[in-house]
Amino acid sequence: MVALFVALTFIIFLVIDFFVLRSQKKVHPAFMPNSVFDKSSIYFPGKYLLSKGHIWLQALKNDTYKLGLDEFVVRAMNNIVINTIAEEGTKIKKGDVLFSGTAGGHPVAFYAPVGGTVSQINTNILNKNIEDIYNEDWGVILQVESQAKIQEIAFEAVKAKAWMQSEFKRLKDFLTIQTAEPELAGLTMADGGNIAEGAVSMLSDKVVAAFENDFLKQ
Amino acid sequence: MSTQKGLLFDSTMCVGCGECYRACKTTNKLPETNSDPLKDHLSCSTYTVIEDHQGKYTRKLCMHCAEPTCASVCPVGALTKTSEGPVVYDENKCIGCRYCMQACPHSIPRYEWTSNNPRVRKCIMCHERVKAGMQTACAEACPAGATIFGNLDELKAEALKRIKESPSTYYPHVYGMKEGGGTNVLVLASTPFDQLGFVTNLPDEALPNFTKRALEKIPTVVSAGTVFLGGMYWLTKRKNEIAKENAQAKERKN
Amino acid sequence: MKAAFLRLTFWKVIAVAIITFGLYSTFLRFTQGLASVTNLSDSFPWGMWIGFDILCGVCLAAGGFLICAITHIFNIEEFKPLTRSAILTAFLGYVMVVFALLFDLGRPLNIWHALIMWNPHSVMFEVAWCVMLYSSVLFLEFSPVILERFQLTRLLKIVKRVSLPIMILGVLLSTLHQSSLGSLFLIVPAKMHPLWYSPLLPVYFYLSAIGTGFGMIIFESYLSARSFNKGLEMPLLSRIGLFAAIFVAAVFVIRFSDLALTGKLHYLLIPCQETYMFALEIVIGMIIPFAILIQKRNRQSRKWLYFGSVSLIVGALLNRLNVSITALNGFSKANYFPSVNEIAITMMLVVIGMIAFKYAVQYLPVFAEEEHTEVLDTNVVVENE
Ligand code: SF4
Ligand code: SF4
Repeated sequence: MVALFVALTFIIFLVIDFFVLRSQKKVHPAFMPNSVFDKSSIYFPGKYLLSKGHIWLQALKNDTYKLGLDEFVVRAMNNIVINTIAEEGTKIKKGDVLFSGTAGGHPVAFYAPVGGTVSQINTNILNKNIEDIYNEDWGVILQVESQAKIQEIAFEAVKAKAWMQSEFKRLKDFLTIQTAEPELAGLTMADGGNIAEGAVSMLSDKVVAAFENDFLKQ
Repeated sequence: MSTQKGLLFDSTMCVGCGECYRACKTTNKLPETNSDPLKDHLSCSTYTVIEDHQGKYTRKLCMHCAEPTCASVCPVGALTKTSEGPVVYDENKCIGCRYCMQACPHSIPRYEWTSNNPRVRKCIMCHERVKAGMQTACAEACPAGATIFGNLDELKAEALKRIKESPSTYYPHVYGMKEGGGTNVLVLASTPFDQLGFVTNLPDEALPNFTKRALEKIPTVVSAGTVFLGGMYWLTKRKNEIAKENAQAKERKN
Repeated sequence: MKAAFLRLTFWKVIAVAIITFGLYSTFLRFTQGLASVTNLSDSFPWGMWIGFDILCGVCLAAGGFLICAITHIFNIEEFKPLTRSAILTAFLGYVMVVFALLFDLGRPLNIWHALIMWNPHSVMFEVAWCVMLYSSVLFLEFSPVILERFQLTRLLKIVKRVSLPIMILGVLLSTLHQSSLGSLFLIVPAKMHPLWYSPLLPVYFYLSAIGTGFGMIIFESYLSARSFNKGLEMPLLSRIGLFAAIFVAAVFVIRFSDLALTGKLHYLLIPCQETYMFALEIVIGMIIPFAILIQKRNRQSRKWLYFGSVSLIVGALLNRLNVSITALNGFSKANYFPSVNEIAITMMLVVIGMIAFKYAVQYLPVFAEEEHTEVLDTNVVVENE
């Protein structure tokens, strides 16, 4: 009985605390969306380039680049799982599908920012969540058709960061359009500042498709 | 020949007069707690009582175990087994953790709960008297010869003899021969002992062995643990260093 | 600052009420003896102070030695951000345990006797020494934080140099006393309910302390996130959740094999209070947390990870109190239930510990090592605390 009493007291205190926080209009950390996607914390590594389809590029040799998904999409969608990668050795054009898979179970595809030949693919990323965004979890190594094109389609790191901030605003607007009240759906935070991590893939196939259209195609 | 003294209580001879109860109170200068010794219970002011189990009388008191659990658990050694047999208590050492009360298989020790500097209280087999060569107050007072004092070996032989001589009177077991490693207080009865309120599910092994087995492992745990932890530290550290070196080497190549 | 301090909040009022009543009970305890405040009796000499304050307290403070072992002995450095707060909690936990002991001991002024009057056959003696040494070790482990705060670089260097032996000593001492708290009950084979009594009690106590300690590290992080507006180290915490699940499973397997091998399983079929409490302990403390934490998806969810840690803790509370109280109730027939004063003193100690933690965090760089924490939205949690 004593054991039961102590255990219940503990639980009751937790429950009371939950309601106390609620009455103060605060959220217990356990009930916050899994992570908060705030614009100040977006990271982009120094020597990388970023294309408008949210694919990063890292120069290896003159015309070979390593490509992968940037933090913005990974955090906006969360739980991205790649099932297919463009085949090794094939030639692809700008705008061809580079990776496809799912985000929170909804189908999604990512597009090549530039044309070229796929010289190597990273099969390690298949069928698991993308985690180590800028290192281990790269997608393909691409021999680009023309070096000059790269300058046109990609930002350097400093600009890339600023651009991602603007994308962040665009994402908020996007969510507001998709769901009349994103706050209530738990997609954005009460103060209107931040977005719940993975907000995009919390919604439907349709929203993910719209996101693909608005953010991933360029 | 061991110098251990003991008590033999033959419940078939006890008439429930309460003389041992009163003698104990007087000798140990304990305050009166009940005018009827048969209605009292052990407390910090009562070291022994007579219990009435449907007309069969039995005494309850510290059994003065051969390997006393209470003494083995006491962190500061406030309880000790004397060479004369009694298990005695030193209130100046005691810190009051009450592990002795928790651990005693016969649930004997009592506590002065209302005192601000409480002591553990229990029968001490009139240690002072025994040391002086006298018998315990209770044995001296018993008019029926139900409680007798003597050398433990002799008492054991006497108990066995009684059972042998009149098997119809006695339940064929001397309580205290082997219970929890044996006790210095032996009891004879006409019925199974659980009917008289004795604890009968005790192992024959002395209880202190149960914790001794765990405590014995400590040196092994400590030395194996140190080697394991030290080794782990060295291994993992080395692994991290190698990983770091590799990473640096890779970077240089790039 | 001052205004914030004076402002009344729900929990402040409760804390003041608990401490006031606790102090009143303390006064009674030390002026009129144990009988005036506790429901302890000759047939039930160990109550809630031993069962909760000491057994549960020590078990829940296991997070400190676990995190030290992970970061300093197994050199898994990612976990460093969790170290300081875990050590601090453990240290405060042990200080509270010692205070509780002063309440519980009949002759608290003699507590130092354990230092000079040795009885190495006594488990209690061993526990006393380990707890005492380990509290000092915890203090040393935490001391860099204090030294950093006051910029005592020389001392800091010395402490850092001896840090490895200290860490190893801490892990060893914890191993010893966590298990020995279980050994305390080895001596009462005839008094304890067979579902709990086992020669393996020290092993159960040790392994379950590890499982619970991991749960506690998670739970503490949520508490800190709740009160100090800091982020949750989710990736680290989910890994800790996995460790907890593994240990819980280990205890479950060993306990049930033991019950089966010693032919005690049939006790589970006897409908009585002990059986129900045993079942509750197993379900809440082992099955539920294992089911939650073994799944990666749950471990990555803030909500489920939290529920997992809460059920680990509730399970530990049930287990320790079952061993120390429920399992002995049948034999003693005392039907012990703590008095209001016993509860008040216990709660007072917990509250004081939490307040101490709060101030330590405010004035010392406890969360300083955490460069990697996610930046949480400041407006959601804090401000009007
Ligand atoms: S009966 Fe109890 S108090 Fe008496 S010696 Fe044995 S263990 Fe100690
Ligand atoms: S209460 Fe006193 S005599 Fe009993 S075990 Fe504790 S210190 Fe020893």
